[in-house]
Amino acid sequence: MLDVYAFATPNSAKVPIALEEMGLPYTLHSVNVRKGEQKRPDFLRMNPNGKVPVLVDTPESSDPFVLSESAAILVYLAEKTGRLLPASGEERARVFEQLFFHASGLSPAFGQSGFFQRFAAVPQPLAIERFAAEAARTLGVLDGALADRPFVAGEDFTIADIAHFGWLWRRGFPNITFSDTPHVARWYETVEARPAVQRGIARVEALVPQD
Amino acid sequence: MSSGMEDIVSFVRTGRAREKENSMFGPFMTAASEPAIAHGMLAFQLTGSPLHALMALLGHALSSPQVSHGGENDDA
Repeated sequence: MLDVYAFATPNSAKVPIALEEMGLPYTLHSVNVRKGEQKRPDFLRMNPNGKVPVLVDTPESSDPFVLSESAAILVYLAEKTGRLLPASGEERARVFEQLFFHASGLSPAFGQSGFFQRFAAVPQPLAIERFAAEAARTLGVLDGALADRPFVAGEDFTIADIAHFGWLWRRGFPNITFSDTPHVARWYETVEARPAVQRGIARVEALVPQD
Repeated sequence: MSSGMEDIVSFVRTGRAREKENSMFGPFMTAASEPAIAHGMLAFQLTGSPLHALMALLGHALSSPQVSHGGENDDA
């Protein structure tokens, strides 16, 4: 049994998308980060870092396995199913290259850029300039990678595509567009059209209260 | 730097350290605490302007964690 604790956030979305792609049944639980539910004691017992998403895998014959960090969850699910991650060699290394580039480069740049543009009560021009430039730069790096291959890590759709898609789906948060990155635009359109991706997005969007 | 100014700067630094340790500070509690008042005093001493001192106080109130909406970034 798989339980996912998430909200309609860039990194949360990756997990339902991966589960839909892999055809695994799961239960999705809302953790409303706008209300601070990610800091409640019951959630912090699962993830002391206080961030979504969290995956809980409960086999019939053993204790639950609790895992946080979206990139780690993607790798766990890929290895569990043998899907969306090459088994070995250069192709597998290329997927990890993109996963780590996303987790340490593009994702924090997008997140901090959006934060300083939208939420800093006192404007911080240096931070806005710094992170907006870094977000645009990392997107440019991704565009370069996609110039000569259909998917971010090569010829096939992998968990690295799911990782990048999460933040590019929420690119409005840091005010990013694809106007200068035609290869990213082409790739995004391809990934967005996948039925499993659409199902995953629909499920996390349904977590947002309509009030 | 005059000793009076050094005292104010030291006051600000120690107050900020205490503020970081105490997550219970609300926006207006923060505004009424030592670092905010010390920043206001510093602004007044440097500029001679009560308006600048008031703006320093308001800056503390508005920039506290409680109004940062940081939850939106609490995914990883």
